[in-house]
Amino acid sequence: MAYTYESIATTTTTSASPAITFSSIPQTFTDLVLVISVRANSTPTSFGTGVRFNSDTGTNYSRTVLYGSGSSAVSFRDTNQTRIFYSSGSTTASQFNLIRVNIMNYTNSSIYKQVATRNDDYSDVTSVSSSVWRSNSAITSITVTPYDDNSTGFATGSSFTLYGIKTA
Amino acid sequence: MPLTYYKIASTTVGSGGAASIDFTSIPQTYTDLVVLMSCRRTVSTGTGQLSLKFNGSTSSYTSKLLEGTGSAAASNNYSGLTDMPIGQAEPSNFTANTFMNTQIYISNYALSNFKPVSSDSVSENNATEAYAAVFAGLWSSTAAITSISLFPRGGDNWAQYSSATLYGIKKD
Repeated sequence: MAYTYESIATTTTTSASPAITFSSIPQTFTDLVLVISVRANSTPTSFGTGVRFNSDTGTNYSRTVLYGSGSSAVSFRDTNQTRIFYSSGSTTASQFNLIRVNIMNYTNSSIYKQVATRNDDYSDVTSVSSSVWRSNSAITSITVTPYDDNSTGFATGSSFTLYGIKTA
Repeated sequence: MPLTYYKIASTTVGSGGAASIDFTSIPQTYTDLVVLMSCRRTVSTGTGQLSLKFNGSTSSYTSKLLEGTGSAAASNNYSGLTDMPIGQAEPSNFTANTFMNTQIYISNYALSNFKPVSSDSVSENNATEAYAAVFAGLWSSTAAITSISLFPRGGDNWAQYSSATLYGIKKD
């Protein structure tokens, strides 16, 4: 039986941390899955988690989001963003939000990269989103950043795991 | 690189139906857990939801639902319950032989943090009522998860051929 779901790398923060980067991603899988368990290090006005590919800080990302607040269902979209952004604002002790990011065909250099995500912010909303990185480049690195890129940071115990999936 | 996705246990409901599907003595050697469930209820009424309990506990559960019915989208909040609604469950008046499919993802189940649960739940039965739903659940307990009970809310039973499989995921 072929192995199809493999752990590529994992990081758990042992102190308040800024960006987390997965570099030199093997080009031998079909798809990637990034599982993020995250909590804010402090109480910012608006905290969230951003994802960038190949250190691209250009306005090449967009997203369409459907979320439920517990009382209403809402959809919106953002274009020309500098990262894929996920709301995740918990600073509650012991409470980590869960983000599951599916990145399809990440080695294909002929297409833009599509991303499907489930994001649960247990103090706020549950959501599904579709995102695209408008680049044909194969994804060789992924950077996960706090909302403000550095100063807020991820709390101790936040974890980031990258899996590779093979279809054959 | 190691394989990361392991089957822990699997159950299929027999001809007599079952009040719940239970996984006990869950190994504490994985990072995350995944449950894949295919379910159908034995009666046509009731709340119509798949619910769970961890370690037999009857407190500290919350969950949030976002669903589409084919004609509308809605969101609901659940708190103060003795269990965690985490999926839809097809009633017996849905088209015969159709079952609801749900994937439940439980992160860091063996750590001493609160336990986040994320699920995707879908049904389609070529009729007027069907669901596509996601749930965000939280068990505000620092206890490691050692057992999971999956049951239909409202005292109903799972129908024959309902099934659930528990997987463990290792991240290193």
